[in-house]
Amino acid sequence: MLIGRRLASAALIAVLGLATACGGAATTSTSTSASSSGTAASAPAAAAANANKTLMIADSYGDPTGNWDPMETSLIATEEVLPNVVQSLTTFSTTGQLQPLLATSWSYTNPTTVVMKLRQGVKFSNGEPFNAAAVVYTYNRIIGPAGKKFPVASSFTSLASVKAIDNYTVQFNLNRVDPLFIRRTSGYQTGIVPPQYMQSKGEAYYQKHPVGTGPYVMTNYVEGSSVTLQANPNYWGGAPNIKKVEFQFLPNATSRVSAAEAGSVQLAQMIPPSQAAAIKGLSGYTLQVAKTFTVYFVRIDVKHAPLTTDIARQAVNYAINKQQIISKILNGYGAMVNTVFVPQTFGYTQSIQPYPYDPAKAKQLMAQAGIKPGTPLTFEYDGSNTQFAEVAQAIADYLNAVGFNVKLQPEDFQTLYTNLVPKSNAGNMYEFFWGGGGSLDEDGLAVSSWQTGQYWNPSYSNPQIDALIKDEENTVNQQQRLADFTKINQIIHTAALDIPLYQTDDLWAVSNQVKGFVPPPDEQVRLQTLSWASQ
Amino acid sequence: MGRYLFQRLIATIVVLLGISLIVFFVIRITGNPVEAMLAGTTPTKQAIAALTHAMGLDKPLPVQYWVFLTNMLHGNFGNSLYSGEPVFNLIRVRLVATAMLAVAGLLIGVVISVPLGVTAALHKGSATDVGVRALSLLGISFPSFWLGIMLVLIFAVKIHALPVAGYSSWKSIILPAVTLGVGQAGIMTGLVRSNLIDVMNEQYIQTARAKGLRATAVVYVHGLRNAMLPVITYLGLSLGALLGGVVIIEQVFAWPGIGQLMINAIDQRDYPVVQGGAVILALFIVLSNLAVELCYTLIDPRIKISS
Repeated sequence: MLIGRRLASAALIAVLGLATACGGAATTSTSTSASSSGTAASAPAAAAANANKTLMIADSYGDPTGNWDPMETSLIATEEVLPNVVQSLTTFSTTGQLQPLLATSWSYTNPTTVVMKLRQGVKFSNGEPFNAAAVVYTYNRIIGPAGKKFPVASSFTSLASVKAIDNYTVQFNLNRVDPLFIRRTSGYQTGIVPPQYMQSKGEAYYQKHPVGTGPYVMTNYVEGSSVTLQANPNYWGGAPNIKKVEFQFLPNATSRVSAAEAGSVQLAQMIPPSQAAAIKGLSGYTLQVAKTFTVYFVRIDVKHAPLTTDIARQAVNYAINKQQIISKILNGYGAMVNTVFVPQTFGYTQSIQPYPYDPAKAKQLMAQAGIKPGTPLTFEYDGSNTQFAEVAQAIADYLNAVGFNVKLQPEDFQTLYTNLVPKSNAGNMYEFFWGGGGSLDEDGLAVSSWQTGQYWNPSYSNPQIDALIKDEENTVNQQQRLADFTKINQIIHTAALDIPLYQTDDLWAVSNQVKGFVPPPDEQVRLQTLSWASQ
Repeated sequence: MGRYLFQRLIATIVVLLGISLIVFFVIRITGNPVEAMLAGTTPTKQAIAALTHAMGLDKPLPVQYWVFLTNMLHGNFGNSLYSGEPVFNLIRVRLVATAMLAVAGLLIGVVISVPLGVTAALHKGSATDVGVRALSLLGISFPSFWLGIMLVLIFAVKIHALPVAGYSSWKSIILPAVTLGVGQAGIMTGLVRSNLIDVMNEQYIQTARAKGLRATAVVYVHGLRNAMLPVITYLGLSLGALLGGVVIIEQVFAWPGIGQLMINAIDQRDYPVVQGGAVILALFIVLSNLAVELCYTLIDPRIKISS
């Protein structure tokens, strides 16, 4: 027994020893960032005292899992942070306008050749010059063997080659007409990287230590926890006002609200509408609202009875009171839409009148379509989206009120969009949303959702739509494309393929210590526009 | 013993192979990750086919499994489809975070439960005993997400003593570890109490008393040491289970643990991360179980391992 007891003690000590060792590791492994966020994450008084040092942002999208090479990911989590460090040739403004960034001007010299003039006097934050060679290097990575393994390559299938005309002029040679090419140069994945740095340090090093031409430099990245940026004093657009910024990855909404309540962050994004009142009542903070580029809608699968005819689908459009859904479920944080596009999308048609809420008209159309009371409808949606679950319930109630018998079917997000929808197994109708696909051009959704036989369109076929899509994809005349989209939108509206619901709002808690913040519609915080209120 | 260890090693390999096989095929039933990756832009059929091919996901499944298996034997678990990051690196960082949380939580559990359990056992049937048992029940019954949020509201939002969430300083671990520890303490207090009551009725305790040892020596040297055996077993097994089981606490506190990583990977159909993570977690659980079994037989010579 003596041996037994000694070993028992040894085992206990071993367990406790392991605990101590790991506990020790906790402080060591995170000590690098303790000085930055540990200080700011205390009381509001301390936050005020430190306010001139670090701007703290509660980031809802989490960690972009270890890789800051722009080409290699396709994540909103990266898109929020990286454009402040690595810049693309063009960019979208908060009003959805395509603007020059590292390119100052561009033109199609013929339908398959794009020439871009580059900004002069720009340097990467490591001192390397930005020039045509860097652009050629970056785009060759994207269309080369390495880039093909990443989603970005699918946006550049039209790019055959890129060459430098002179030090500040590049020419993109396309293998087909691509009217979206210039818009695609705005994506963060096309961020221009410094060739010498990339080649001398290696791609693996770059993934953790990205370098670009942006207003900030990444100085500390604690995987899974936070990323810290320091102002780039040599930024071509002028040194930023705020010298240090830390994004804290807080995917849990309650944590973000608590962080604002504790005064440990100056900006917190994606505040749930249900918590809006708490932020409004918080001293030192305001609630600011971004109208995002994202529209939620219900998509109808035309293959399944009874929604196989235009009038049947129009009936369900008339039956739903979207305004009530916005005011009651979204607490007013959303806007009515007439189509599935926001006005900033290229191709948006303002003249289309949305189907008003008119249950009597819905019943009349149902009778006309031969739909009997009690006819079942299956409505599938992403079960993890608790807010949309309420919206789905409201939609079901509205449809039941005019005589349908709706079965709500929550699904796993990926299963719904990658298994059920493409195979026409998502019931009569399903939740859908679209945020511009990065290029804010209707083509992205039109092709995948309305073109015959495409990925998200297993059932609908309309030769007229196919012809219009072919036409808009084969011209760089944007007026002609706009005319094509107008026709497409009118056809889709009459066929009532979708039930446009609302444009979503993104709610931000903004500290009064911060000036110049414009709530972004695209999740990108444009840090160089910010300053401290005391400055 | 040698033969037993050899048999366990073979069993471990079989378990890992079985898990890798199940995870590999089940995750593939749920859909092509490429479709999910392109969903945000323009998921045309052509783009999906091209990227699927570039990633090697269009090869026959047995070929893909063989590649995965042979790479794994070389310690290469592949790269995340979403970030290109080697899976082993991703998992190592997250596993350390979760292990820290699990160990700290268990430690808090031990610190709370041992004095409470001993006090209750020595005053069996008294008001103190009833009080401790009620506390223990309360600890087990608190849902961890609720307790976590309450602790945040009190210590971070009201008192401003600790960070709301995150992984930024040594202070960050306190609230998640306490949240975990309270639940563990609830379970362990009951274990310590009931085992100590049993042990205190053993003949060797009466012998110790008869020898005239001090009461504290009888309890702590002779009683508690023996009563801790099941607690240590529990600790060992919990450590393995907690590696994949503290995901709720990880989410409440934005603690970058392996549970969060795995859930995101499953959501995104990031095959290599799911496969590699499942195999590595399974390895840890199998090994911790094995360690406990070995400890147990060494601690109590009455238990023999026979092959």
